[in-house]
Amino acid sequence: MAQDGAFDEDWFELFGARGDGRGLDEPRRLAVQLGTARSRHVDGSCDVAQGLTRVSAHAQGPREHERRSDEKHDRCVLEVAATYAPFASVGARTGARRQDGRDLENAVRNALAPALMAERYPRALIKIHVLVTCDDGGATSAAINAAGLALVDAGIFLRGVVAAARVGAPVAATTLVDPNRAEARHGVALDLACLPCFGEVLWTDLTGERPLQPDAYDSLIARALDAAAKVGEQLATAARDHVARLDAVREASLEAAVAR
Amino acid sequence: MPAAFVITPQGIRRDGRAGHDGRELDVQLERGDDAATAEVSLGGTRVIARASCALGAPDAWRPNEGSLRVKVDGAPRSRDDDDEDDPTIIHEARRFLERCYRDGGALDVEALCVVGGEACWQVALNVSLLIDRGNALEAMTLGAAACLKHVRCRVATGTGDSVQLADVDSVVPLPLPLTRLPVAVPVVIGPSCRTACVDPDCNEEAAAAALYIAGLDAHGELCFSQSSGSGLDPEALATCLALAKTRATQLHAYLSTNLQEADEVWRQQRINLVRNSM
Repeated sequence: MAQDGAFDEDWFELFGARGDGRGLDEPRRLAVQLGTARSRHVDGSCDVAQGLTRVSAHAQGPREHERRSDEKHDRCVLEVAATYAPFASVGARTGARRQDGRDLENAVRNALAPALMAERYPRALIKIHVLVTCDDGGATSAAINAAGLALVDAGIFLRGVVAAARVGAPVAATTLVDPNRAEARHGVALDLACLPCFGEVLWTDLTGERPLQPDAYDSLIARALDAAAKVGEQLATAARDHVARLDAVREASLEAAVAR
Repeated sequence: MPAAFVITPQGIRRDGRAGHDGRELDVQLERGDDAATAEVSLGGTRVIARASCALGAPDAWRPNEGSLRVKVDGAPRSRDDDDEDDPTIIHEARRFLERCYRDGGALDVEALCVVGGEACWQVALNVSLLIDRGNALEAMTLGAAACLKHVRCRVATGTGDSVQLADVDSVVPLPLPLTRLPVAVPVVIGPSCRTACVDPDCNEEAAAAALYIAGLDAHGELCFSQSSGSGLDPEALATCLALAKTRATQLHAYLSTNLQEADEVWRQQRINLVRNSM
């Protein structure tokens, strides 16, 4: 592999694996934990770790607006605040610019707003806080996954599990699933958020240091949808396990109360 | 009046345009010393973009590269019929220009270096949104592309401390090292009738169910792409991309003829100036 960890075709031909040993279609290991925040101000929370990337999201709501003039009479308003921790970058910083959380806020809001059943919460406010503690590539898709599950943990209605994934094309003919920061540096990367149960694309974003031929765009979208569907299954399993654990704890405490 | 996306079953919009038609476009170009201005008028939307270059010292950690600084601002309440200010369009335009020109390599910053470690060209791009009647992003990126392409920098000679700029009339000034000119083309999809439309006006933008923005250059390559909204599937994305490509081809054709004419006008003005001064 190249000195800085970027994708190297010769290395891949020789060893049949990427720099970190994964195949072309293999994502990094996804670890999801719901209900991690213990504060009473937070209604739902979720921590997502994908490889070295770590993101945590807290959801608050539905609650009243602070100012009545901000209310919408028939739907809720979704507000997202996102920050990158100062130590979040892995490897050398490529410039003196501080990382702006505004792009991440727009991404999470645009991805979750169509999935949220906003008509069920008129005049309400739902707030999501996202904190990226380590960014080794794919922080945006991890943040969308974490924010979606934080809403599930808070008991807010969604049309389905929101799954986000990232695919990269470091060189013209190769597509990688879930590139890390070094692999995504010199090519094109597509982030995609979707509702896997409906096959509906909620949000996409293409970034890159070189332009993409439009014919390659369709295949990137298709790969990203496949990857997101697999991520969606893992997220749904994690949510169901969390609910099952909570039910078990609740039943045990009920039995203990009855026995007394 | 609440915003509404009006489109007949035959695909005709409120102002009589079809889904693939744009409004009237006019770009006025002017060139000064190491600077150029472009005034874009797209329907009622008006934008002024200015690119100017100055010699300066490069950054300490990038001694062999010039720099591009992008600044976008909008007059508050540039939309008459909107109650709240909308700073997101300003942020979107700035991020588009930074991502395409600076991060995406559309402007070759290494070629802006004059003397390594000591002198380089620093390009400042200022885009102002004066009036927003819809599709401000396309107008702003078109203005930015036009003025960046129209700028001519005086040739710098000399080394060390004595870098001199040659006179415009003795040495032909050089254009900026641009590898491509990305222009953002937003495509909106209406809520009930799923027709994709380019060049949306205010009402269509506000009432759209989904928005797809493609940044395309003159060769049809995709430099930037973002989609948001409900009800999109891969076929809808492909339709939007095809529509955006057609529109981008028209915009780039218009831009190149306009740039050629403006260049010719400037050369004639310089010749007349030199002749009259002799």
